Order: sequence, then structure tokens, then C-alpha cells
Amino acid sequence: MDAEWLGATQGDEVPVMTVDPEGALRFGRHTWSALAGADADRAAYLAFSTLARRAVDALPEPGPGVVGVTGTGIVAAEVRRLLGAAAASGPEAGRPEAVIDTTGDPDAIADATRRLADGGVLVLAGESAGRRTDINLYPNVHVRGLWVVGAGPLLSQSPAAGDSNEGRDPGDSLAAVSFGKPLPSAKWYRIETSGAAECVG
Amino acid sequence: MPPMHEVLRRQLESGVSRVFDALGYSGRGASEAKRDTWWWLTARAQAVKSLRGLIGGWAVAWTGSGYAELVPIDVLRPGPGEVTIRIEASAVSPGTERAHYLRLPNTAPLWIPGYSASGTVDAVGPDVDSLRVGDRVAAPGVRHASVATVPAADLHRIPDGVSLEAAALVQLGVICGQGVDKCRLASGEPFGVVGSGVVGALMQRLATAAGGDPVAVIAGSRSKEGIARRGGAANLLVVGEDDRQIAALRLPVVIDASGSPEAVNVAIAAADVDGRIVLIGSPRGTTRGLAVNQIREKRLRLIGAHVKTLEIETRRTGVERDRLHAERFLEALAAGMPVADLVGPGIDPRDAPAFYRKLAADDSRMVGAHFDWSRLEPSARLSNGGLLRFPNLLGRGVDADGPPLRDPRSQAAEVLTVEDPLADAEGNLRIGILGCGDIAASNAAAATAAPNVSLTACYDPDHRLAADLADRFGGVVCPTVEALLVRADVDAVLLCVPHHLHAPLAIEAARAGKHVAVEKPPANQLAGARAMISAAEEAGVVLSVCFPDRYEPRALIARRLIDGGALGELAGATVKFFRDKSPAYWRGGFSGRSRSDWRRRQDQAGGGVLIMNLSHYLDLVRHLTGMEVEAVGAFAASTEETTEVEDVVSVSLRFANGGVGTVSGGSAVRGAEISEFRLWGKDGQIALEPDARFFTLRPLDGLRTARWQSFGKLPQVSTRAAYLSRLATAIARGVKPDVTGDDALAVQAVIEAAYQASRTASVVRPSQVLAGAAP
Repeated sequence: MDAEWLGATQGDEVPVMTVDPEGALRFGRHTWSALAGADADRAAYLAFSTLARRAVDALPEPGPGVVGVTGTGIVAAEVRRLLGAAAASGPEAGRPEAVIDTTGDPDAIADATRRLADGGVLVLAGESAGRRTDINLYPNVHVRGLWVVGAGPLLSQSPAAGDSNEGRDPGDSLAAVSFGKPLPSAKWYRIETSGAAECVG
Repeated sequence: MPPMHEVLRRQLESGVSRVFDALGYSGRGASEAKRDTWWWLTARAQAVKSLRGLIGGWAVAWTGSGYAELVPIDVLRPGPGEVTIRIEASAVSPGTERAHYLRLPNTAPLWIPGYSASGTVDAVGPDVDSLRVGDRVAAPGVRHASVATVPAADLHRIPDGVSLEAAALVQLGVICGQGVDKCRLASGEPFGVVGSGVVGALMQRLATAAGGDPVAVIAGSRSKEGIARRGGAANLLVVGEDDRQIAALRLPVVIDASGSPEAVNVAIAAADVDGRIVLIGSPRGTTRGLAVNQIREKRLRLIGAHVKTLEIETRRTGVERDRLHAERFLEALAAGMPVADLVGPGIDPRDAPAFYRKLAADDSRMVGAHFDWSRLEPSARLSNGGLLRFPNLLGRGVDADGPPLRDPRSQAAEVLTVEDPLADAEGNLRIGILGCGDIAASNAAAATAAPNVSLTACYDPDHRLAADLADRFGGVVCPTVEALLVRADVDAVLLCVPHHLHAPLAIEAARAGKHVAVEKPPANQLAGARAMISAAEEAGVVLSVCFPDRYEPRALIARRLIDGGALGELAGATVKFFRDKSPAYWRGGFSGRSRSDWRRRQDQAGGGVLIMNLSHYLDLVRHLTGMEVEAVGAFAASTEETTEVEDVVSVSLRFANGGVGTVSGGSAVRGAEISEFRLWGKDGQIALEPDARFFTLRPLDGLRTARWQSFGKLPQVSTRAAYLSRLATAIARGVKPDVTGDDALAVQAVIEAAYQASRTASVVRPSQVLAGAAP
């Protein structure tokens, strides 16, 4: 579960990506079959980082200068890693040519359309997680000629060979979640279940 | 601390406001007078600054939220690099203009709408080599006006064979052309369009011309299916009905040209993975629940494509593409791209008020339209502006209570001319007057004034009154009613007696073979009225009731205005008549000529202010509008101890066409001298009292629309003479008189229904009253 998927208030439903005993990933209606040699954490990490790569790949060519990145979860972290120095967050992004949103948060999306330079690109890489996006497309998207681009689903296809992420340890930003205890600070979370899963954020 | 220029501007505005307040302007009138003054000053300041003259013309203006009209404008004569165009057509984009007119979200207030026109070059400024006087040009960005001065570089020569109406779509061509560019269509690539208005249709046709394959048009209804099919669309799918087929389209390109904030989700549903959605229509509001997950999962590209994005592209690339898209559009027209069905009907600019109301009411069927400026007089379209010509601030006809406009054109307006009701008088009707009191003296004078009527006899129980009448107006004095009725030199009798005597005397006269004219109302009761009408029919004589107000010049003009369509579909009427009638009226006999008190007695008068005074208005409403009263509710009361009849009444009317009327009056309202009489319909209003004026959205005889117009100087007419003369002519010709017995019966039925309604506190139908009063 990406940290960004947590609901704003207690009781919100939280989407989760599951790994079954055979090693297959499932998210919504999408599935990745078992990944050879990957444990559950690494397989999930691979999925997140693949989405991050697709988000970066969705940026226009030639690449924009400063790219605003919203979010603090694992996808945002991977996007920042891939962008390197081009990534910016918050006010230091100024009026970026592009913003990659990893939050799916309606307010963040609306804010990104306001901050973008004329003709800029907003890449949607976040999960809306049941939140409704009410947005006036006229003043920014329509009049200022923004592009709103989808990065693709979390598990749209099996990862490419180059996305193996070998050598990188997913564990330093991962926290295990136990029912009944406060959530630790982390970029993503593992919820271990046995039998019928009842996942609550 | 605001900047100095802002302080000065506020002080100037404040000063101007005080001046207009002092001049008596208020409300809308004040704001319009200020606007006119501001435009006047601005135009002249620019003229002086640039050492150029002014040209006068007209423009469609939205003078308030939901108000449109034609207003005079001044434009500069062409300066260096400029030309002046005589506009022939200005295109209406119904969806966009409706949104602005209604001030929907994401629109800005506009004074003068429009942004795309065509015309001919009327004058060329220095340094213009590309255009000559008489050239036909397309003019992007030009508003709905009869004349415009613009940079020559902004204009495009219209290719031969392309109509001015089609070329007037040029700015829409630019808007759609840049949108098609953003689609980046490959040859044969399927695309769909959401929205079937003029922008959607034009996008469809230009995208097809660019090589795309128009698979489907998605719309809110099937009302414009023909337009979509003519543009080559294989399917027209309706949102809410064909949602599964829409989701199954899987289109690589979807153009959202709807302007609906919710349509983007339809476009998202119709798009295939990796598809492009080009947002060309301006969303008029907030999209509720944008399908961001679908955009993300389908890897869609939602592309903002407002025409202003061309400026962004110009900043980035240094290339101005507006001109390119305009030229491309005109070339496409020259190559035969069909747009005749998008040009729409030509609207008379004076019809703008009604046009925009219609557009606001229902835009679903209108695809395109254009203002046809050739409908205006040539001298009005383009005239010498005149630096010293002052704005017409007085009598502008804006405020309902302010002075009405005296349009100079009203002198020649046929609709405002009054025909002399005595002009075609025929025959010689010899009348005998029964009853020689107050009203008889007026009628005798009228008979003398009518060229085809003569007074031959009169009778009154008070022989002194009869003798006075005969002495003043001629004729003999008869000793009895019977003596008058047997006279061979009496063709018709005129009854000027108390109401309760109308029926018996009318019946007696009819049986004696005399035509009957009777003062209103026909009788004190409906049954009596029916009986006298039946008696006339049986005797084969004419019976008519004197409603002389029909011949008031203001009524004659009102009838012409209504017949000419000034009010459109009729919707209502209101009458107010309040007086402070003196005790002498009730007990002294009005002027004192004849001492009587019948007016205060219910059994003799049949009623008070309703039957006595308001009956005139009831006849006029029916006569002028043709609206028949279907149902009546009323309350009446007698507030004076001295009267039995009602001296205050309030009547509500429902007309058969669905209209509603109110008639209220009083004869014991201290200090009152209040008269108000208004008729209205969907397109206008006529006020006959207290002073005659009209307001119409329809251009009649070239008169200015959406202004309170004066009826002009009205001639003096003896309405009673007109009534008697017209009656004499009808009898001579053997045709029905202007006021028939049936007309009078209809009025009396409404009066009777009102009295019944008041007594029973219920709604009464005149038709039921008539059925119950069968003789």
C-alpha cells in the first residue's frame, strides 16, 4: 500500500495491492503473474517503480526543465529518483513545465493545474482511492492549453527487463502494519494477513 | 492608498452619477445613459487624438444581464494600416453566446458580443495596399455591428464562390482549425466528436478534411442528427441512451466540443487506451467527478485547446498561426466544404432582443445563425458619425416610468399612423335618442359631428331635457317613447337611460323595427342583455353597444401594433381604475343636468365601478387582443354607506390562451385619479394608460426594439362620433357593426361572473354564466 493511498479520515476505504501465495500481484482488475525469484516486497516495489518510470516516460520530449512532483509515497520517491535534479516539490517548483502527481488527491491535482506553466503537462500517476475530483477545467486546462496525461495503471503489464530494480533495497522505506497499532512513518506499507483478509487502514 | 488615476476616475464617476441623478435618471436608465456618455466621450477622445473622423453605425449590445438590443455606435475612420468594413453578416455561435448571454460559469460580462464577421471594404486608410474599396473580406474578431474599423492585416479576402455568410464563420474556422491541429490525426484515423453544435459540426468537417475518419458524434439528443450525418458521421449516439455503445467505441481521438462540463467524462469513456481527447468546447462550469483514474489507467492525453492557446504557441514558436488557420478555412470553403447548414438563418439585427431570448430558452435545436446587417437601411448601417453629434440621452426609452423614446423613424412608421374612422362614412342614419340626461348630450353632439348621422327625435320623461337637446342639436321632441318609435324618420334609437331600462326599451324599439344602439353595459343583468339581443335578431335589426374607447387613437394604434406582432404571443392584461366620486355622483345625478340616484341602486345600475367603468376596459382587452376570458375570480365591496353597489373591486381573469389578467378599480378612493392599462405578450408590452407607449422586441416598420417607444402625437378624435358613424356605415352596407351584441354579451358575462365569484368566493366561468342566462 502506497502511503498516498491512506484516506484523509478514519473509515475511508483504502486500496491495497495484494500478493498471493504463488507470488502473483493483484490490484483492482489488473494482475501480474508470479515473478520469478522475487519475494513479495520486491515484487510490489517493482510494480511501484514501474509506474514511476511510466510517469516519467509520459513527460513530453524534449524533457521539461523543472518537474514538480507531488506526494510522499513510494511512487513519488521513485519518480524523484528517476528525475534526479529535475525533480522539485512545493514552492521551489515555481511554475513548472510539468507536474507528476502521485497522490490522486483532487486538491493536489487542481493545485497542479494552477501552478503549471501555460501549455504545461500534468501526469496523473496517483490513485484517486475513492476521492471525487471536482474540477473546473476551463481556466487552466482549457484556456491555458494544459495537457493532462495518464501514466497507466499500476499493473498494466509485466515489468520490462530494465525495471528489475536489482540492487535496490525496497526495505528502507517500507513499514509493516499491525492491526490496532499506530501507523509508522513510511513511504509504503505491508499488511500481512492469514486466511480471509480484512484490510483496514 | 489607491493610485491617483484611480482616485480621479472614482471622483469622475461620482460626479457623473450626481449629474444623472439630478437629471432624473434612475436604475437601468442611469447606467445606460452613463454608458452612452462614456462611449460618446471615448469615441470623440480617440477621434481628436488620432485626428480622424467618426462613422456611425449600430451594434447588438447586451445592455444588462439577459437584455439585448441594437444600440448606436461610433467607430473611427481608418487610420494607417486600417480599413473600415461595411459588415454584411456576423456569425452567431449559439452555445458560446448563450453561455455569455446567460452569464453562465466561465464567462465574462460582454457589452457587444460576436467575434466573427464578413463584409465589404468601405474605406481604406493610408499604407494599405492589400485591400481595396469593395473587396469582400472575412473579419475574425469583429463583433455584431454594422460597421467596424480594423487592421487590414487581420482581414482575409474571401475567395470567389464563397458566400459572405459562410465566410462570416471565419473565427470559428480558426478555433476549430487549431483544435484539429491538436488532434494530430493520422490519415484514416478514427475520431469521434462529443457535441453536435456549430463548433462540433465544424470540428467534424475540418477533421474529416484533414484525413480523419468520423466514426461517431455523441450528443445529448438526436435533434441535430441530420447535421452530424451530413458531416459524414457513421453514428450518432445519445448520452444516457447509448452509453454501452459509447464505451465500446474505443476511439483513438475524441473531440469534446460540447461546452458541457460533464461531457469530458463521456469523452473519456469513448476513448481507447493511449487515446487523445481534445477539449475544444469551453466547459461552462465545474466537472463533477472527473474520471481521473480512467485518464490514468487508459494513459489518455486530455489536451486543452481553447483558441487562446494559439497565443501560447506563438510565444513559444514565434509563429502566428491564427492567419494560417483562417486562410485554411476559407480555402476549405472554396474547395466545397459544406457549411450552408451551419450558417443558419439570417437574423434581422433589430430582432436581437427576441433572438437571444429564444436562444436562452432552448439552444438544443439551433445549430448556427447569423445577423444579416443588410436588413438595416443603408444610411443606418454606416453614416457620418459627426464629432458634435450629441448622444440621445433624453427620452431614451429605457426606464418604464421615464420618457419614452421618440424614434425619428416613427414619423414614417405605418404602424403608428391613425386612420380617420370617419373617412369612409356611408349612408345617413337618422337616430332618435331615448333619455336626454348627461350622456345623451355627449351623444347628440357626436351625432351632429358624424357626417352620416343625424338626430331626428328625442324623448325624456323630463321634457325640459328633451327640449334642450332638440334645441341644441336638432330633431323633434316626442311626448312618449311610443311616439318616437313610430316615426318614419327614425332609423335607429340610441338608449341613454339608466341600466335597468336598457333591456325593455331595446326590446320595444327592436319590435318597432328600429335599429338599437345602447350605452354600455348592455343591461343591468345578463338575462336582460340576452333578451334584447334575441329581440333584435328576431326583428332583423342591428343591436350594438356603445364602447367608444375602441376609437381612441391610442387604441387604434394598439390594435395595429398587436396585429403586427409587437406583443408576440399574448400573455396578460392589467387594468387599474381608481377615482374619488363625489356624493353628487351618487345622489345628484352626476353633472346635475338630470337629478337621479339610480347609479347607487343595485336593482337599477346592476353594479358599481365594475359595470359602470371597468366594462370599457373589459371590452378593450377583448377587442384589442382577441383573448376570451375563461375563468373569473373576484372580490367586491361597498364601502360607502350611501351606495348599494360596489365601490371597490378586484378581479382576476384567466384567458382561454393561458394568459392572466387583473382588473381592479374603486370609486371611493380619496384623492384618487389613477388609471393604468397594460397589455403584454412574450415579445412586448403596450401601456395605453396613463400615457400611451409600447415596448417590443420585434422590429416593426424599422422602429427601434427593446425601448419604450412613444405613440407619437395623437390626433383628437370624437370617439362617440366615430362609433355612431361606423355604426351608420355598417347599417348602410348591411354588414355587422364594429360592436355586436355578442361582443357586448361577452363583456356582460365576465361582469356577471365576477359578481357571482365575489358573492360565492369561488371561480366562475363566463360560459357557465351564459348557459344559465338563456332567455
